[in-house]
Parts: sequence; structure tokens; C-alpha cells
Amino acid sequence: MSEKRSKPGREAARIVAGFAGFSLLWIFVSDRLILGLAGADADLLSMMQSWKGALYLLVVSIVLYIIIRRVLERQNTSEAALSALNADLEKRVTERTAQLESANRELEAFSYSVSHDLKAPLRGVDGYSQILLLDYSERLDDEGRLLLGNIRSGVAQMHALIEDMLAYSRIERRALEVREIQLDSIAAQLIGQRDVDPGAHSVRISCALEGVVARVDRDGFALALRNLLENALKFSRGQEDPRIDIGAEDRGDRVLLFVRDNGIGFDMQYHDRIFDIFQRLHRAEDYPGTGVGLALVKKAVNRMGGRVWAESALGEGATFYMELPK
Amino acid sequence: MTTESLPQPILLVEDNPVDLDLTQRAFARRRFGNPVQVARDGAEALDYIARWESGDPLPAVILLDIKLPKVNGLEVLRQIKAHERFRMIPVVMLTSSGENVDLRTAYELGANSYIVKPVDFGKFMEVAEQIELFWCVLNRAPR
Repeated sequence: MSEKRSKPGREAARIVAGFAGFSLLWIFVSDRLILGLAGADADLLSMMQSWKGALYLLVVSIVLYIIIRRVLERQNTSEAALSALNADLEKRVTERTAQLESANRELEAFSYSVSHDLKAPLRGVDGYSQILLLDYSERLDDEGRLLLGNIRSGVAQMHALIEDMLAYSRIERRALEVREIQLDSIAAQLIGQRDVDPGAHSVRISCALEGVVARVDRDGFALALRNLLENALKFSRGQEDPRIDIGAEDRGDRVLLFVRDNGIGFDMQYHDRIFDIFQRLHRAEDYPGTGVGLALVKKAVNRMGGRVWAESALGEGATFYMELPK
Repeated sequence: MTTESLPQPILLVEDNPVDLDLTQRAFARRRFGNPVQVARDGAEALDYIARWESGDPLPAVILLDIKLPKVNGLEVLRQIKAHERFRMIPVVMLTSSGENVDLRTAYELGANSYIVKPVDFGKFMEVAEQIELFWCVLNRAPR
């Protein structure tokens, strides 16, 4: 289509030049002709001049008519082409939306199946091992009881993985309710909840988020902060005088929240990888986990229009940053 | 009235054989003595409506899974809660799904309670004990 299109300025200049040339020719040629025909007859000359003007007007009108008609016709064709293109685009958008919706529904059905169907056999494994431990314990030796215990901890690990995968897919599917939220009350609640975790008592947590607000989804933010807090607790617990500081800095239209611990830290070459799902830097027996926690943080923060990153050095603690819209 | 002292049954609607066996074992370990009736799919559960109409004793509580063959649990719930006489039977959803949409739909349809089956069998036994204690011993339902 575009190769047929000429430049409008050039085309207009071409038409006008043609028109001016024609008019000049008309003026000189027709005047000579009239003079030749009428001679010295003043009345005849004046009448012929009038007719000549009328004829000129007629010719110009016809030419104008042809030009305007051509322009309008061309405009109509391009408008029709444009609206056809628009309709085609709209159709494609509708198709893509339908494809996306169907993919989303499939994902939902998949998570639902994960939630429902993967847990049933796990319940079986856990249930029967525990019944064995409860009812047949005296017929098992220590090794047998140890093996059953191992089966049950495998189940617990698998269960934790399923729950985390579900939480991960739920963030994707949930509709966000973004509004202005006071961050300190959520942080206080989360810090309060850690009381159920006996190992976490030795860690001192200070939280300086008074008056800090962000435009976030409450559940999404709570999920992100909870996972950062659990992460910090996990990796600082074994340290001498473990402590965690939570604070925030104002960054104009953003707020920068940080969770800083004095735990074991990590090598900065892994600073991106730690936010990937199922990525772990430690052996499960040293630091248990599913490798989903920080991926949850990243997904939740990204969905709320924020970003997350971490700074650390081995043995020198780690600081996790969440930049959120305000 | 001697019927007052007869323990009402618990109607368990469960298709998964492992879950069914474990639930029955969990109830058997507690000795409140309510017999457990079993329906293996939604259609079998709805068959009980005809039995109650012909005079069979009403259950103290119905434990209803959601994902069931033939008629799903939410449809069973809808039909029971739409029934003029039997809608007062307490229905406790006992399911693997913790999805919010299932929770909301169940309560909208009139479920009396919603419990997500724990994977840990120790917790599952506690759940069975609590269900029986609350719905069969403490709670009074019309007969």
C-alpha cells in the first residue's frame, strides 16, 4: 500500500504548476486570438473578452471538479482500508484475549488439580506410616521407626512444596486491590506471628515503619514481607546476637523498604538467582526450605508495580530491598 | 423416648479410597460411637434423600467432599440445602481444596462449615475428633 502513496506536497505542487502553466498559456494565446478575430471593434472585443472569461471559468470548474473528486475518492478508499485494518486488529485482539483467558482457565484448572489431587496420595503415605508407627511400633526396631520417620518428613517436604506452588500460582491469578496502606501495622502483625516459631525468639527484630505508606495490595505486601522476614530469620538464627532491622526511605513517588539481617549472607554472584523459583544456595539439611519463598516475594512485588533486589557479602548479612509505589 | 439416646449416623461422602479408609480409621480411633455411613459419589449421596423421606434416621452431620464423580459436592450441597425438610442437616465440607472460590461458593450455598483436609495424619485425627465432638456430641440438630 505504502509504495503507491506519493508525497502530498509534491503532488499538490505538480497540479498547481500545471494549472498555472495552463492559465498563463490561456491568457497570452487567447488575447492574441481575440485581437486577431475582433480587430479594432471595441464592442466585439469586450463581448469576446466576457465570453473568454466565462469559458475560462467553465474549464477551471471542470478541472477542479475532476481533481476534488479524485482526492475524495482516494480518501474514501484509504478510509475504508483503514477501517478494515482496524476491524482486523480488533478481531485479532479479541482472539488473543480469548486465547489468554483460556490459558488462564487451564492454569486455574491445573492449580486446582494440584491442590486437590496431589494431596490425596500424600495423605495416604503419611496416614499409613503414622498408623504403622502408632499401632505396630512395638513390632518395629529402631531402624524401622527411623525409616517411617523419614517417610513422614518426605511427605511434609512434598506438602510444603505443593502449598508453596499453589501460593505462587495464586499470586498470578488473584485480582489485586491496590490502595494506600500503612505498612507498620502489617509488619507488627507479622513480627507478632513469629512468636509461634520457638527458634525465632533469640532474634532481635526492630521495625521503623511508623507513618510509612505505600499503594499496594494488602495481601500481596503481607506475603512479600512475611517471606522476607522468614528468610532473614532462617539465615540469621544461628549467628551470635542475631538481629533484623526493617526500615524505609522516601524516594519521591516511591518508597524503599528494606529488611536487613546480620546472618550468613550470600555471594553477590547469585543476587539474581536467589529470586528464581526452586533455586537454593544451601543444602536442605542446613537450611530447610522449598526454594519458593523469594520467588513469591518477587512475583508479588512485581505484580504491584514494584521491584525487589538484594545486597550482601558472604558472612556479612544481607539486605533485601522492596521499592513500592506510593 | 429411646430414639434420643441412639447415636445419629455420620454421612461421609468421599470417592477417594485412601481418603475414605483414612477418614474411617480416624473416626474409629475415637470412641464416640456414631456409625459412619458412606456414599462414594454425588449421586449416591443424593440417594440418601429418598431414604430419609422413607423414614431412615437423619445423619447428625454430612461430611462432603467437593470433587466427586457423577454429581459434584457443591451440587449435592445445593440440592440438600434447597430441600424443604433436610436443609437443616448440618453439612461440613471436608475437602483438599483451599481455593477461595470453593470456600465462597460452599458458604453461599449454605454449608455449615468448611474444613481443608490436613495432609498430616496426626492433624487429620484431631480434625475427625473435633468434628465428631462438635457436630455429634455438643451440637443439637433436629431429628
